[in-house]
Amino acid sequence: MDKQDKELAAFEKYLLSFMNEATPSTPLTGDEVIAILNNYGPPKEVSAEEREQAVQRMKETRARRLEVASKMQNPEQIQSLGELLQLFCEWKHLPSFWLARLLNMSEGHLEAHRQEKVSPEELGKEQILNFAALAGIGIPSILAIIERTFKRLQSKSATNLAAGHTKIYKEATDPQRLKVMESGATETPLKLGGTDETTQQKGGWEALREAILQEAEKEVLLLNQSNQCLTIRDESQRQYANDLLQQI
Amino acid sequence: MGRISTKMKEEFDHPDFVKRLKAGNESAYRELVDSFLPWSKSYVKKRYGLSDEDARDVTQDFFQRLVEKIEQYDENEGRFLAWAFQILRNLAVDWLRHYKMLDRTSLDSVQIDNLALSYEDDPTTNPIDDLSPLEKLPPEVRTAFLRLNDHYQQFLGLMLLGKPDESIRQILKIPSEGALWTLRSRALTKLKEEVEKIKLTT
Repeated sequence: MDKQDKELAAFEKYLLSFMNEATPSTPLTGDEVIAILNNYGPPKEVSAEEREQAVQRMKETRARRLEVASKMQNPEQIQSLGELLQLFCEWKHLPSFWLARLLNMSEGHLEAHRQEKVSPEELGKEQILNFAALAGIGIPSILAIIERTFKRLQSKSATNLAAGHTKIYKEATDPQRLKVMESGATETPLKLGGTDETTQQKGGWEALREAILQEAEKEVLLLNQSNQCLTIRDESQRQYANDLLQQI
Repeated sequence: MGRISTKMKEEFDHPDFVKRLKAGNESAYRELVDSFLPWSKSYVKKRYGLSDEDARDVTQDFFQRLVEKIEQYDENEGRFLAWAFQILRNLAVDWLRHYKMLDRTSLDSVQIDNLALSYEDDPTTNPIDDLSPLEKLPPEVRTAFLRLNDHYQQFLGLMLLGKPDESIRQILKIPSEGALWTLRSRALTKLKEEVEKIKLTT
């Protein structure tokens, strides 16, 4: 290894000596950013259409941010758990897989809740309490949102049932079909009833709701107790300080 | 549009400008887009080898992300341009990771998750922000580093990130070990010269 190689090896070692956890990172400065951008040469012009598109995108994003912020601050405006999950991910820039991980569930399961394909009750007590804490939403508010989700699911299911009735009525009164029936063809009787899943789930929900409220009450109790402890400790510290002052 | 000026930096780093952005002022949006869109697009195209269409997508996402994150930025910091540039770099690297991974094959979500785990170690497809080591270097070396050409900067960035020679060769598409050795020697010599020049002038 000649002298120049040795010097370069020493210089490399010197540079690498900064690459460790202990060396603090100092973010790039504005002047450094300008130097970097200038290093890549003068840019080509960008079309007016592309510029306009960027401005519109910024305006739309701001409008949506304001909407999301308003709803997160006023949970009574949120219509369902699916909407709350969607808003929360948007508000915190959280990819849904991260939220799924935080709530200890699969991304597919979370997605099903977001799209309101499953009953909110399936979340379970722990996950509902965890999510309320994550989102900074009070227990009564999240319970009210879940109640509204049930109502939506019920009305959805009623709408589907009504659509089913209309379809069946149309089919039953279709002259072509009637002709077929008159000619002796047998039709399978159509079921109009069926169990209402949402009503059944609601029963389970009432029990879960109670459990969540009990848990919340316990936490409030613990919080009050710890606040009282703090007050007692603060009081004794104040007393100690007063005693010291008097001694001086 | 020859060179980006420090005037742009002063204008954008000013607290009043950031306040206008935070307030959703349309003229502030336009000023930022008119000045910064061509530079940011050119940077991601050349630096990350993106097509015009891909660079357009990344820069559009960039302006959206700026609006989403502007509430978190303290206007009194006075380094808006540097903050925005960091967002641009992160987005470009994330974008490349995401699309290169999707390009590989049509995979289901479980396969993608598995691939993601091994992905970090794959130097040919794993884009990295090789400007990040710069943030740990002393000021005179940083200044000298930024005077180097793009190729030297990329090599030194990868070297400082601790990438093995074989990975650097694959990422920079260097044909032989000899060519890599020459590049290493030239990049280090040039950087050392620039550092010495700076030390002499200060």
